[in-house]
Amino acid sequence: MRRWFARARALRARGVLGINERNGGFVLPLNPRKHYPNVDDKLLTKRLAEAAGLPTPRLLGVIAYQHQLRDLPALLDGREQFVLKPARGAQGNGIVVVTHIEADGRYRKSSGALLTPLALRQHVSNTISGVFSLRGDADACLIEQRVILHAAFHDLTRFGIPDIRVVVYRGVPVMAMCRLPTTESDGRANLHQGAIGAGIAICDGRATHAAIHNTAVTHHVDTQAPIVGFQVPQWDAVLALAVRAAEMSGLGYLGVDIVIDAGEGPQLLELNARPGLAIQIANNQGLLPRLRRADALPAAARATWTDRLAAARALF
Amino acid sequence: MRTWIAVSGALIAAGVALFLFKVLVLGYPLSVAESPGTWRVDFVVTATGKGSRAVIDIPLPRSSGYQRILSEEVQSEQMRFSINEPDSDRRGKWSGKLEGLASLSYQVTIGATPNGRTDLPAEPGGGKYPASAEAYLAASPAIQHSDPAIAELSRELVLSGKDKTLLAHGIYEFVAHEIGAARGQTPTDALLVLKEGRGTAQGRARLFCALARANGLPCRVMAGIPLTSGRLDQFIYWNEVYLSGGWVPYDAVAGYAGSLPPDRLSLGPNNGAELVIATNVGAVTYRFDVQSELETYAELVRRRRADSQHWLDRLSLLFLPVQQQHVLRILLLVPLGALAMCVLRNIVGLRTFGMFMPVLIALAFTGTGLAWGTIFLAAIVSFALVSRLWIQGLYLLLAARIAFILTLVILMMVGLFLIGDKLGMPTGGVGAFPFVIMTMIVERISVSLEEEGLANTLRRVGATLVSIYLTYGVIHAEGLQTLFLIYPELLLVILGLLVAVGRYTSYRLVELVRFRELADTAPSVRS
Repeated sequence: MRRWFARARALRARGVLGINERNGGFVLPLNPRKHYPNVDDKLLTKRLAEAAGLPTPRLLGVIAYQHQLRDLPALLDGREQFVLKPARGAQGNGIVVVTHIEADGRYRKSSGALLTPLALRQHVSNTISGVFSLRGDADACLIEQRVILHAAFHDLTRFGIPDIRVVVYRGVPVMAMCRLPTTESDGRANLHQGAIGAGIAICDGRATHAAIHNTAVTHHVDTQAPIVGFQVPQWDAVLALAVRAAEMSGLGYLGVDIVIDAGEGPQLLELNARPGLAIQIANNQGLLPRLRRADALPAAARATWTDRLAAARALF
Repeated sequence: MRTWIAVSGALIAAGVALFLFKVLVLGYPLSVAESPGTWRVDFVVTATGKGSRAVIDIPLPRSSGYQRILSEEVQSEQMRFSINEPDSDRRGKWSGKLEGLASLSYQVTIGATPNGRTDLPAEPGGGKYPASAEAYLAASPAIQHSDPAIAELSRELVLSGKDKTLLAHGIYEFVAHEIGAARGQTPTDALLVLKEGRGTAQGRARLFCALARANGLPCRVMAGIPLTSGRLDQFIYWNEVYLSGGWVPYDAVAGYAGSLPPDRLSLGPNNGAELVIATNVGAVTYRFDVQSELETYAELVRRRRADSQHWLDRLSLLFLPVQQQHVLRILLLVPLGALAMCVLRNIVGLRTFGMFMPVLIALAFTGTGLAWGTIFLAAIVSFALVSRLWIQGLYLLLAARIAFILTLVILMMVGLFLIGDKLGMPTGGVGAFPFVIMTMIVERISVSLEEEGLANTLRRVGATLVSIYLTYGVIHAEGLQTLFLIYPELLLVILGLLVAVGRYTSYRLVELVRFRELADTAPSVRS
């Protein structure tokens, strides 16, 4: 019979990073508070990325004040597909993906639900008054181009868009996973809501392991397609984007979220200063040994982002 | 790198060192095992006023051979209370306009002590008495020592003043064995008691006094309150005789000669006068509520250290006004509650609504108790929560929505006051509930319901309740309260522990469950 808990010694032997150690040993010492706005505010992240020449989903408009709600219909006029996103939202909350407009003028969400124009306007209003914001402060609502699912993911996606999370430590990409939305997660790529996390090898971009919640799986729960062995498309570009985005952020330990658009290729979605630990379950590996190996890299191997990228592909 | 260990260790060592210094060097007691009997006596006077200026005068105890006064308190309603303290008598006086029925009370906490000595030396007669004793040779009302009948009795008993101790014993033997107890309220007069051969306690004490004085022995009547738990309405009386340069007690009624056990509160010598004197008052009754009290640890330490000049003792919180001590008792334990919260979050991994919200709620439960507090909190929060879900469709802006919920919370509190008043529930304590915090709880629960689903939200509500109960248990543990009040340096230990918990970087208990798959070498697979 399997036990429902692990011994601390067993977890330590496998190098599992716990939340206390992540905070006390990595996030607090390596992520200076002054850089947090770079990652907490998606609008600021987007501006930084643009300045650094990194691709992000195209910004269609920003609504930051209630009076700007009048401009919303003009902004959305003629657009069938777009994404509403709170600038300072957490964990994907408050994100609405519109896939097309019905004949009666209602918006069809990616989940299949319908929104009247009034409800959509109210959603934007809620967003800017801070409903989804990290601390309830006033916020802005971004309107972005909707990302189109890359053909490589067809078998692994019923609806929603998968994304890639890369944990970058001191400029070195140490672990990656692909988050596959499920029916349970309602199309969202959040693991705690029931998305599948698939561990991706840094060296070649192939899936090595997968888990839903805290349990291992080999096939997608909705489509039954095999996950292990799946090749993430344009892996070189994905990894390069992750390393450069980490460099731009000023943070020493972060999660970089990247989505792959069918036409535009890898796009920087957002950065996270406290990346979750479930990536270890998705990879069936602890983070600590990899962090230690990244620490042990000689100075020459970490001089530029291309050096660090090459070193990581050799190591992981 | 390891400075936190040094900081934590230094803080803990400093706290423990101060504690040990108090115990080992200053000699703070660690237990109350040897504490003597302490009593609390409520002297309650009920008087009906005539609507004009009234005076009620009562005898008060003083620290003497019979007792040590630990604390005194007076409830005077609208009257003024003053204490008059001449050499021997100590009296308290309520004065002021008195209309209708008034209940006045004087409460005293005392430590009773045995009084007198059993091995009285023989003392030859003659010699001069000091003026203070000389006064107790003169006649007083109802103590007719120069009456021929008293002199006649002295002759019959062959009492002589050659040996004062023997003389006192002779009088004691006579009054104790030859004079019976009266059933009614009389006789109280020495002569009448002698004639009838029986008397009240006061009457017998007066006869004792008259016989002593007739033979040149200074003697006085003592009045007091017996220290037996319960409600009483009679004073007790005994005598004190001046022997060997001091006042020696004799109680012919209870049967003690020369020494008394610690069984009475002495109200001082009484020369036969009325004990409770009421002027311009319709009717007066009085009673004593006597209650045995174990001396608490805090009282023991306070008494032992009261005269110390050591700076640590002079900084002691025990000598602050009682009201402030009551506040401090709770305040000093809040850091301990916060420490418990840190352990629950960082070591166990419980997710609660708000980091220190459980501490605030646990404090608020002080006025209602745990059970009622939970019921009231649940009533307020669930009412506001249902309303919050209901107004979802109104699409109110954030600030207005929070204010709306705040108003609902206040409305619910008002409702609870009204319901509690009608049904006799202890809703008074609801006034101390932190309404802003409750509003935020409602908001967080509704957001959590939306984002994390019912199961996760309920789990979090459960974790929050567990934290509230644990914190409540900590800050209301009386032993801990006393400990921190006497040894506030223990807060340094808490600071040290907080540093240690803050640097606990090992796994949280919930992570042992979360990452259990990672502990297996060959992970199980579900397709």
